Amino acid sequence: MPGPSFWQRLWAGLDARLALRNFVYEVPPYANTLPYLLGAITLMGLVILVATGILLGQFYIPDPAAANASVRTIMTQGYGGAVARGIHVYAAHFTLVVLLLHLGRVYVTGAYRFPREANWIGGVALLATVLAFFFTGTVMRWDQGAIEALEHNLAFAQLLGVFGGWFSPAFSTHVPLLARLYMAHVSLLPLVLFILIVGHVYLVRQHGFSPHWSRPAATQPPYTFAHHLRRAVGFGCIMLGVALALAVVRSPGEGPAPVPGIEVTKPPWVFLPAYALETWFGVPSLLWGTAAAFAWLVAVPFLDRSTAPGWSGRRRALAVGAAALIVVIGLGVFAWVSHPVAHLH
Amino acid sequence: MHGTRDRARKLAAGLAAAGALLLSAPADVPAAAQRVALQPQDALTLVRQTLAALEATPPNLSVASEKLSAALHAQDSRGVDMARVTQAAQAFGLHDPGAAAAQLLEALRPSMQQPGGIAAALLVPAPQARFAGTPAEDLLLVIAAVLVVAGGLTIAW
Repeated sequence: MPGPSFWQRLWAGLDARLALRNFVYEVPPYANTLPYLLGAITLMGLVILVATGILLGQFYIPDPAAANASVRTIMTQGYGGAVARGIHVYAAHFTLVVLLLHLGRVYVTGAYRFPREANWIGGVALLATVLAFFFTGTVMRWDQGAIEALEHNLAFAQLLGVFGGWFSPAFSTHVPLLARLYMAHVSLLPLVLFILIVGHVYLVRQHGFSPHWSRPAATQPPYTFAHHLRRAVGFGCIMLGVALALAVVRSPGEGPAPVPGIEVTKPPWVFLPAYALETWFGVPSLLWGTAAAFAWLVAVPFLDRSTAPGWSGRRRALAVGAAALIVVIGLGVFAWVSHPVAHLH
Repeated sequence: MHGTRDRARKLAAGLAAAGALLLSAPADVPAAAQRVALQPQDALTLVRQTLAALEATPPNLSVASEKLSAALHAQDSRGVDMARVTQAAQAFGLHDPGAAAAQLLEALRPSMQQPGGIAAALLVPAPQARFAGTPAEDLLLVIAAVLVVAGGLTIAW
């Protein structure tokens, strides 16, 4: 009788030291369907962003006098800078889309209800963190759109009053705000993201995958988390491949070095609803619009206390969610088709 | 049931109070005074603002017109070739924003030669890298295709 193979011995050795068997726990089969994989695919996108971000960080200069030129250097000189930047940009868009779809799936299936309220709130915090990544990444480009985003950052700091100190240049007068936002982009936000993801994954492990809205789990053959992870890696490979192809075929551009004091651009797509609010109700709507949206998201599990497993018992929550989605998309479309307007100057 | 409604009502009232508190915080921001302070008086900044408005996608002609007019009347014209600015205004008047932008770029030449002046290349968008079908690009596309196929196979496995 042959003894264990090399791989079996390797696994046994690693498992004895790292307790890898804990990752081979059973998950229901629907956990391997696309709607239930969106969270894991978001994680894969974040891994791509961290890897390409580390590469870009070696060549980016977070100094207002040199940032735009350093982006151009990344785009035009060796080490595959243009490709790395392209993957970073496209993967950021894809990751945000997948994250929003994940949020939508959790909302539609009511997976935020007892006992998963804390994990929903953690997920909302993750969304805020990823949006902060997206915002600070926009400023890193240091072109006209970037400085207009930065000026909105300053306006936001003023709106926050005494709580806006960190966002203000007065917080550290000898360090440019661009450098501090870069620090946030590459160290503060990754730390927050890591802590939130660890907590999020821990709670998923503790509570298990949320029940399917129609299929009873007991009637399905079980799979393991390793299978779930493998499929997520597969989707991550597809995301990386598509981002790479787009980076090669349609490399993201870079605008002229910025000049302060005018507003002639519009923000990236995810901020367009806030831009529309700002156009209609002025700069303070940046604060109350954002605060209202996140307050509603945090309150969702406490407003919807239904226990029905399917959709029929949650008509009110689904109607509210659909209405919120229509409002957000409507605001975004309005901002997208409208001409850029000055909000600050 | 009533308990749930009461909780929801209390939560909504709490959120409304928090919102009112946040809205009351910025009431003392001197916005008008700030706007005045932000209006540049020098031709150099005004010409750069005009250029930025013309190079936006799509070009913002109303902002460009306003800033170009202000640049023409600016008291401080250091670092700017005002004759070029006048020519830019004429090109703009002839509905040729491209020619106006080119003149404004030339108008900024004196400032570029000064110590600490901005490089001309940075005042225009970076040349957009276009797919040229080089061997390196083809290889990267093959890698992209392999990644997509490998991902698909991993999912199907």
